[in-house]
Amino acid sequence: MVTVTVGPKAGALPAGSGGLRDVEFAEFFRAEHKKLIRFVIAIGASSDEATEIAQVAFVKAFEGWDVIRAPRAWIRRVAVNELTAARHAERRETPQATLPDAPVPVSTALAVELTEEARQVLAALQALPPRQRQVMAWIIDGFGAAEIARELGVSPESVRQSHAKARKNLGRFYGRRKMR
Amino acid sequence: MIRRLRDAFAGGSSIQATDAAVGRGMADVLAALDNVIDDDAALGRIGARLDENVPCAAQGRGARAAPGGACARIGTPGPAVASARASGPAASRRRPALRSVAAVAAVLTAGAVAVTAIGVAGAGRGRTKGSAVNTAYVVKRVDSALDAADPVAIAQMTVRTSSAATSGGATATTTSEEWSYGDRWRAVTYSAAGHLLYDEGSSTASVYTVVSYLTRAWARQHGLGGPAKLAPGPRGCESVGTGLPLLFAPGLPSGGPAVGSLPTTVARDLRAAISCGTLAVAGRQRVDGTETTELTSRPGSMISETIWVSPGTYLPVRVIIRPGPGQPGPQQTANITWLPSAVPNLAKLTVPIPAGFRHVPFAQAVTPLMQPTRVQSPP
Repeated sequence: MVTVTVGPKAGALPAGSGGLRDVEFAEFFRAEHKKLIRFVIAIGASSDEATEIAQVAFVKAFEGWDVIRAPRAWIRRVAVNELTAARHAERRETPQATLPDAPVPVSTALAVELTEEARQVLAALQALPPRQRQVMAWIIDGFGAAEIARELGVSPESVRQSHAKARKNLGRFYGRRKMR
Repeated sequence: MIRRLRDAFAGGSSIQATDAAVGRGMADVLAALDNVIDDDAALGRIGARLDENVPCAAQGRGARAAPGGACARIGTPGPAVASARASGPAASRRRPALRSVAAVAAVLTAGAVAVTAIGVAGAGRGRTKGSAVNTAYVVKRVDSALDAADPVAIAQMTVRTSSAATSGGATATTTSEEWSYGDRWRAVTYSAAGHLLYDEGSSTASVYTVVSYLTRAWARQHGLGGPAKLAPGPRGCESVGTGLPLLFAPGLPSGGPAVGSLPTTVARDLRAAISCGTLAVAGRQRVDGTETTELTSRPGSMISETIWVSPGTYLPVRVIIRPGPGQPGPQQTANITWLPSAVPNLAKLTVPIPAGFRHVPFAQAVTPLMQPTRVQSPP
């Protein structure tokens, strides 16, 4: 178990960085990496996109690690911003005619691993309006209304309303599935 | 009531049931991601993007950076190390007298049993960046490997044993070919010059046979050479730690393997050792062109052990055992392949008696083999 620092920037890390900082970051990465990918999928990205966005978000987190106070929320906010930026770029760069009819939500490898219940919940979330979907994604990851409100820049009441509507819509989705 | 009826007619589901379904579904998504996302590789890619490495990841909350850039663990030794230390000089005296099969089988069967330490210097060479992975993930992978393991494979090992350097700086090396299949095992040992020294093994009926090519004699003894039996079923951390005496059962020239080295047993015991912290995942490394997961023993142990396992089966493909710092004893390297239990392979477990060799009393046959200097005296 050796700390290996390689590359031309090895000596250019900010003051205060080093072993302990790296260990903390690595622990955080291991605890949150897959959850962040799931979060990004839940808000509407494909699994490949989510993986890439998560990586970008973690790179940014590492760079700013010393000043990030609430890394779980911070990294999700960065991921949302990255996805939004990617969507804007797509709209700018891709002619509408070439857009696929529906997004490819998961890679083949992930599709093999997903249970029926997992497929259903992803489909249910994709059917929600964007704001409800986003609120659900934060709630699934254990954030409270006040925290979500802060991250989304809305009031807690607005978050609660979006949550209530999302649950109702999800209930309808599952109800329809049950009736089939 | 009206709303509930309306929901029902609209094809709705109860809020509680919906929440539960969402919870289960998202848990399943996470489990699926767990199976397809390699944190190890992802951390490596981040390291590459940052042009630096993210180290020491798998060592848990107790990890800290040690001077010189090496990671170290905060905390006291676990029960396994404590056990090894309690064994103290007796264990370290016994160890050099063990033949390689015992040492390797010990690793195979007990997942290193904790008598180990990690070599810090140079340990990162050739590793994937940021390659440590967390224990729970590894344990899960071992469980998958256990499900997939062929329960009837034979471990075939080439073991090189290098004695400690003499005052003149020379080391003596023997090589042995070994096979292990449940409670059956056989080892053929050669000198550094490639001369056959002895051939020994144990059958299912615990009949130990030894053929000495040094004295052109052979002997057989019933009730010896069989594996020591550990309690069946899952073993807790305490038994992993206290398994040492069973694994190094004295009284035989080699000690013999302690428990059956069937793939399921091996993988299960590796799982126990990882789960208990006796072994930790150090990273990924290529061994003979194959991607492997590297497991290393706990720092501060009497014997340092490194095990490279196939990520798919969690069966060892290479094991290196070294004495801990300041400890005497040989270094052993075992390269392992797993053979199907077909008839030609099973035949390798039988010790043949060459024509013209004398049948001698057991004690007479094994006494020369018990000498600590035997590895240094090729014919």
